[in-house]
Amino acid sequence: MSQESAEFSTVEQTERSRILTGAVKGWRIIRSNQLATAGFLIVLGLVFVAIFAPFLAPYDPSAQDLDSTLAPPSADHPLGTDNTGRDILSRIIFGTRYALAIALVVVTLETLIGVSLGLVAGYYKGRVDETVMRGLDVLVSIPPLLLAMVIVTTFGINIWNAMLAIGIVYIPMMSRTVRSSALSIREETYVQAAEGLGYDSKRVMLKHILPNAVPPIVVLGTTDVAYALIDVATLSFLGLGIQPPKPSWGAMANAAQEYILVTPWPIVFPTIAIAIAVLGFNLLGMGLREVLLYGEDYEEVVE
Amino acid sequence: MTPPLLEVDGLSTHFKTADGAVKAVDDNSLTLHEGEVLGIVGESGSGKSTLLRSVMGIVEEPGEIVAGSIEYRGRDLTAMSDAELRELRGNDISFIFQEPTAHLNPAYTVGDQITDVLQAHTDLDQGDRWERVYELLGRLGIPSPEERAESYPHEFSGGMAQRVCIAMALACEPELVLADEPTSALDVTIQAQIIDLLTELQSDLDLSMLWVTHDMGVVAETCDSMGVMYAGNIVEYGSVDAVFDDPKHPYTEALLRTVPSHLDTAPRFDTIEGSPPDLQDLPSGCVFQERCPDVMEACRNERPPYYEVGDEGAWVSKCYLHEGKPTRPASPSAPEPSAPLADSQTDGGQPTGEGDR
Repeated sequence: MSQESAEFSTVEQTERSRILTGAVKGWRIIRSNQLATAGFLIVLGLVFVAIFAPFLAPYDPSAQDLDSTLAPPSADHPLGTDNTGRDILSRIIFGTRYALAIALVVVTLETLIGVSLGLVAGYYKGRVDETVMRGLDVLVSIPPLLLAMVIVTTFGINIWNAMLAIGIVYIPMMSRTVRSSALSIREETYVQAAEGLGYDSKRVMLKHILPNAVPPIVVLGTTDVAYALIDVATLSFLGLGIQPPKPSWGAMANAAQEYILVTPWPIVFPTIAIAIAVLGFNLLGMGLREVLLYGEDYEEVVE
Repeated sequence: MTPPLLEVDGLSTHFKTADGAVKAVDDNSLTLHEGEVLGIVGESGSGKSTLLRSVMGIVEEPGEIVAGSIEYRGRDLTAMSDAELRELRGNDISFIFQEPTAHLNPAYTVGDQITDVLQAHTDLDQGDRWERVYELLGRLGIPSPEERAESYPHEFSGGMAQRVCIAMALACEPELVLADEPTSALDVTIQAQIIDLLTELQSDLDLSMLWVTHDMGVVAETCDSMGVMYAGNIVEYGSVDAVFDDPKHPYTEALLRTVPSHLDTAPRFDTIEGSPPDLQDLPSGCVFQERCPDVMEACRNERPPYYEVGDEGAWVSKCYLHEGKPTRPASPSAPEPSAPLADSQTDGGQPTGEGDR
């Protein structure tokens, strides 16, 4: 590592080499664990499908073929068609875009707010900590999905409110995780040294506590993508998330439930898609947890 | 005579616990002049590190400075706002710690961490900051600084990590360096190197240092004057030569006797009988009375004041053996007799500072 960076002389190049070594480091961490590797490959596949959806999908996801509605899987329609004759495979492929985008927005929202609150609570302790954490306890005391439904129905049924609602529901867990890390890291001698060097609290929190609290944040964030996928699908299934005719997996399952006695395929395949995506992020999260939080060989892996 | 750089007066730092206050630092005063190296020696738990941390204002909870003032160039640090303190820390006053690797952030390269100090306290642009990092690391004897600046703390040995910590401490050209056992965690050969390096830097950069250690040898080698600390009290204070030559407090005497010499033929090391008093429940008289071979009736009743034992009043001892010699005046904020007595104004080298305070 040091040899690589020694070749670079200017500061900008050093910066670039750092991002590079960061990516290399990340890949090494993932590769060192089978669960993480499997999950990563699934996630990579989902991202690929989402990006190249127009090229992969055999049909336009909203093109109706009223001659063949509720068709079973066939050569023309590998996963069958729905009640208006739309190709299910194409809709699932385009649905990947919505699923991933929404899950990422949710987790980003959760991370930004949750990490900030947790950091502030853990760093300042005492009254600040009590205020923040008891406030979050109020959120936790309401069943998550119910809370999300209340938020969506209060602020209006659309996808932005659905994302906001699920993001809010996830904040307490992230805050608690970060707070507990921050509480222990703030007692580390290097944090005291940082205060002894006259750094202000912002610098101490962001540059000295946060970077050392990253592993649990990464693990929780990854696992929460999986949960967000399920919750977005659930909200969509209940009609509170992505609205038809947009091809969302949850909404597809919802629309298909009326015909479940006629044909199971329109509800089975979107559900399988959800399961695969959830599995991918879950495996990645579990693998990362093994390496980052419980791995004794973490240092070796990174080297 | 120039005014002192650092003047600590009547400083008490107590740790508040459910069972009462632990008096880690109990009414101590000291004076540090520009370019002077002052050593504070004492055994573990004597409060020397707490004294140093109090000066820096980073006493850990539930510790708290309960009395006294700490004046740096005439400005009282205990009365300063956090923002003012931040301005001084790392810039004018900096700290060298005992465990170098624990004091470096594992998430950043050492170069990053040194530039961070420069970014916080100077206007240097990024390029200049890195130039300064390379210069500092080179100055501290780290081979190929450009390369090593890209290394993470765990890639350094203890001695090298301490050099990095010293580089960080010196990055902004401080006037006062507070060193908390900077060599205790290192092995002996490295200790010698770090001590030599610090001594050299001290004279080159004309640093003033407050050096806390439990190692008499380090004090003898590096310091101009010394304070001997026992159970939260500085019991003897004077120039290193004088104190080593003819200690005036029974504790100093006993402490010096325990330092093994290569000439010793005795089968056992000398020890001091007994153990230090409970800092939560200090005796009403002298703190050393339980272990003192010369204990007298007076020692049990009242905390002795500082008696001037030499160097025109600059050498003082908190012991009734010197009764009859002039004492230091009580400080204006001296507590009533039932509480720990005595002020302890102790100026290194100043002719009897009494009266003009």
